[in-house]
Amino acid sequence: MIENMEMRKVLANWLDEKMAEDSSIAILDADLALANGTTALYEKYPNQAFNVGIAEANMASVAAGLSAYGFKPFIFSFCPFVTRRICDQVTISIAYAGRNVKIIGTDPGLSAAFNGGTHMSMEDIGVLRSIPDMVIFEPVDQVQLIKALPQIMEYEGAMYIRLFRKVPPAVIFDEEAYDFNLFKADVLRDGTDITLFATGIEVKEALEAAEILERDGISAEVVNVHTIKPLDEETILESVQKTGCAVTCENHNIHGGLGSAISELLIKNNPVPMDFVGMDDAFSEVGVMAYVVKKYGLDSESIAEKAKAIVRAKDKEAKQIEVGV
Amino acid sequence: MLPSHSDMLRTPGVDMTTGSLGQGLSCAVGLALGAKVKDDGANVYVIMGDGEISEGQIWEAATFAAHRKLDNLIAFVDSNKMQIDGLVEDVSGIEPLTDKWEAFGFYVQRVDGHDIEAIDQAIANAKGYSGKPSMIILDTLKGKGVSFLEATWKNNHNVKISKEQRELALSELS
Repeated sequence: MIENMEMRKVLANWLDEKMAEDSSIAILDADLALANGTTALYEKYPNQAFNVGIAEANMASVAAGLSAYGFKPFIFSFCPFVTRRICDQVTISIAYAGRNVKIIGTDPGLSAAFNGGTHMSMEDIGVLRSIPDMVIFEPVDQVQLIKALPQIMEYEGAMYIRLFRKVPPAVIFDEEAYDFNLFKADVLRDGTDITLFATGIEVKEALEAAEILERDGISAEVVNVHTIKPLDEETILESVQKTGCAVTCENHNIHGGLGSAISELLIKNNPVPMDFVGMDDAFSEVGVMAYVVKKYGLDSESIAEKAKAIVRAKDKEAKQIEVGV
Repeated sequence: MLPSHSDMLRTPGVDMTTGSLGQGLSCAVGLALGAKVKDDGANVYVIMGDGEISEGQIWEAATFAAHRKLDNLIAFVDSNKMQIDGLVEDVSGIEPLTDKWEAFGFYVQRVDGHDIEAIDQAIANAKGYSGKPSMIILDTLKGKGVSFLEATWKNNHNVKISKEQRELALSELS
């Protein structure tokens, strides 16, 4: 059952299948093949799997060279080490040079748990979002990942996949019914009073927050923005047009990530009351994910609290306009 | 406009983009690795500066190239002894270059970088050597053959020249 499978396993199985069919697909690791589940591919595909050792900068530029030689490389490491650590190699060797390299970062944000603050990427989206031509995709669950992989492979260019490494907190999508498009956000729940935009592990929290809000008579729309760059502007603007306010929910610093991206879009097109759920410019302490998610206010109750305050702000604003203040 | 740094999308004949220093050797290792895997007999050439190789990534790439026995990789260091802030040996000395590259697993030759025949012979030697990537260190003098540039030596890493100096340089070189 795919629902019980680790995300790294879903990806490795898919690569196993594709590498057999296409000898130009290559994977590169920086001594984390074991952690990222690619070890078996090294024995099966010795001419398509390259471990560069603990040298991520070299890995990125070697992948760029392989891409220039007709290969389709995937580079792997934990999120911070394929983003903030090698921002320049990703920018120049890969993006500026127009290389077709897929960057797989695992254990995003708080999910690094016991590896601690050194391994928690709270800035990876912010770092990569400011690089032109970079696509940023964060799958929620195994179903979304497996649906996305053919489209990821088909896309020619630099792309960052922010991958939850193990079994994700919840399976959101139904394999039979889900019609996935890499560049379209998914409306998971219709609502009229507020939009909760969520990505990654925060999708589950946002859906639970919507339940809490419903009990308080607030109708929340939940939109999964799985592709943070480029944004699906149409879906986001349409939702906000209907609800008139928003809260963004992400497993990342509130500066530079999904919240920043959406507020940049809204301030130009439809400024509405808005708030941000995410790491509030803080480094995390070490701990199990459920604990740190709650501690830093990324849980459903915190989302619901912020949402209620924003709905109140919206209503107050509407009243002021009504009475002409 | 052609940029002053290597850019594969803008400069004809350049196969990789390497303007941010230290990345070119890794890119070349990627190309050489690709050629090895495809077994197409291609050689890959990469030129680095002696200031540039202070970048740590160079040594990551060197380690990996030797580990993969990329004997189709022929690398050069232009040892002109200068970098933007002065002489390499004054800023952060990088010698002994031969020992360093040998220690990193390269087949190393050091030649007069102004002697075309010597370079040609070194490339032929490199092509004939198997099991190790090659490093050819080129000892050069910036502005070689142009009297007014040679005269300023230490201070000619980055200089502007007048139209008259350009004509003089061309006549001295031809």
